[in-house]
Amino acid sequence: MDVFDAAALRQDSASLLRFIATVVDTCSSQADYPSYLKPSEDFFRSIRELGAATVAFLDAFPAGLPTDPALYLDYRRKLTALRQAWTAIHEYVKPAVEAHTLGIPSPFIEALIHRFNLIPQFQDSSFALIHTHEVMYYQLRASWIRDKIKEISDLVGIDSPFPSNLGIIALPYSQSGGLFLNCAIAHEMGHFVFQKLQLRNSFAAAVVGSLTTTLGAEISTLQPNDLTWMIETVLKWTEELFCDLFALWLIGPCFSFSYIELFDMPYALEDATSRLPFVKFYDVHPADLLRLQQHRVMLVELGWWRTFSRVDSHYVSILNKSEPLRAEDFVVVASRAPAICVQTRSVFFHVIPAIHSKVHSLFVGVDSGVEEFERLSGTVEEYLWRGVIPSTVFTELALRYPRITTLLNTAAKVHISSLDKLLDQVKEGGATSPQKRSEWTSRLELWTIKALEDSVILERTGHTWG
Amino acid sequence: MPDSEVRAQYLSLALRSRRLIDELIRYLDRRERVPSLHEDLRNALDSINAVDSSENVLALYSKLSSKSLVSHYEQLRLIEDVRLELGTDISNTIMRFIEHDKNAADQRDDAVTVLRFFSAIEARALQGYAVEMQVART
Repeated sequence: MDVFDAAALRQDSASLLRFIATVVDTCSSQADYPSYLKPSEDFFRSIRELGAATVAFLDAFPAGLPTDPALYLDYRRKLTALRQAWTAIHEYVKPAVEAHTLGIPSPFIEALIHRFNLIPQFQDSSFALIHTHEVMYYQLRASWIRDKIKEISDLVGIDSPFPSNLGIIALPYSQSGGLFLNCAIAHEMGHFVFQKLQLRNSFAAAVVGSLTTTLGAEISTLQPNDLTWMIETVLKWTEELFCDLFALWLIGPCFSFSYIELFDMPYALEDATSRLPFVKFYDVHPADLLRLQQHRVMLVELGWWRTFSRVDSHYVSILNKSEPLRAEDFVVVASRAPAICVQTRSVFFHVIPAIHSKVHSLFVGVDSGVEEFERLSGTVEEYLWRGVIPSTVFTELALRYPRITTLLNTAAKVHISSLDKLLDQVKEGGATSPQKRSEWTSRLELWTIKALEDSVILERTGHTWG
Repeated sequence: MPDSEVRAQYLSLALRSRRLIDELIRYLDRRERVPSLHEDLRNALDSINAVDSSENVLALYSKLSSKSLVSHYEQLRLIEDVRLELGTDISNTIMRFIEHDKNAADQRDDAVTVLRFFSAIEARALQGYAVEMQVART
């Protein structure tokens, strides 16, 4: 068999076809168990459709062999491109199959999506979850699979079967039953928004404007390579900060507390040594302390800080202590000339107000939940101290139905500042054992998750918080 | 930068280049001019030219869109590498091909040159993707 003949092409097409069939089989519906939320089923369906289209394409591929032998290898390389694209899809399929309803905090996810759907531009959006072995939620851009599916669709001549309103979120496999750390999922929802609205493109124009303003005539002296790096870097920082601020608008300060816990930051400003890791900007993300500083700005703007600034917790202290930091306090770590790094930092600081504005603009007409929190959280907190699920609370001489923002942030407040009151109530008072505290924190999470499940049902059946 | 991000960018560039390669093969082998070929080449030209000067970089990012051939730093670097390696004035060749200002034989030569350029980008991007996959596994 000659490597340049149609028979070889048929065999290579068949080989790729078999590989794709095995990937598709993995997400083919089988029995009732395990069960998946509808968004995951939609995701699997899109993979199956893409698989069927790719198989049909491959079946016809050998017949399209160019008559000019000089074009053969250019034509043949399409199989390599498709194989690698399907290898990328392959990476996502098993993590999605593993994220069935017993492997994810379903009520929390549904409550989050319910709130997300209040945003005017995202009323019909949903999210499928996949498991990741990474602990850092922030390191996996799960929604890139949308682009890959679209690009493969283009190559095999179909419209993308990936639902336009579907996002993908990666959840560390170990956190299937947790709540507080999973507040980071709100940040991932921000990535979906950023990509769906193509904010990278609009912020790119803003970054160019900021560069022109900040550098003036000096801009023409920059090497294209450096200039590209500066724009790209600022855009990455912009997306990360946007997603943080989006998460804060969506669910409130519990997001900041999950961030502080995940990155072990409560004492990040105690001295120069503890500060150092957190003042560094890397090429993919801004400095952690800059992020916390901007969290606080957003929480003040939204009104959350009226209550939380007074909460006695080292989690709150670090947010307050980040307030006076200035641009010069941060360091950009990159293999670029120091002047380029400093200029890049300046350009980013120039863009920050536009990021805040963009986030606020998305939530026009959406209730931040602050007023409800200020009225109900005291009662919800008392319920939690007593181990009572606060789906419905009695206060102000009436039954009230707290929503996700009140439930999450009150539970987070108990977690960071008043767990001892819960321990007192359950006769574990004075417990100094971290293990005991951990056990009761897990129960606190379970009660809150149950309340979240109820709150979605109550809201859908017309029960309003006020 | 996380491996997954670099990998995704390489793969995207390869798949976007493939679209142009498919169109050029149809043109060369079957004399079919795909309606979108000129527009796709013009969009690609913005990205290719961006590596020339700071002004072009600013112009590229000022009008970044989903149709852009590249939208990330690693992709631009890869294009720059291929340009240097092939040593042809690819921008001019693409422009000549788009503007039809030559006879049929020369037109075909330009199409072959453009095809070779995007094939090299695709091959390099696929190779980059494969290398990143290996790095991720080790």
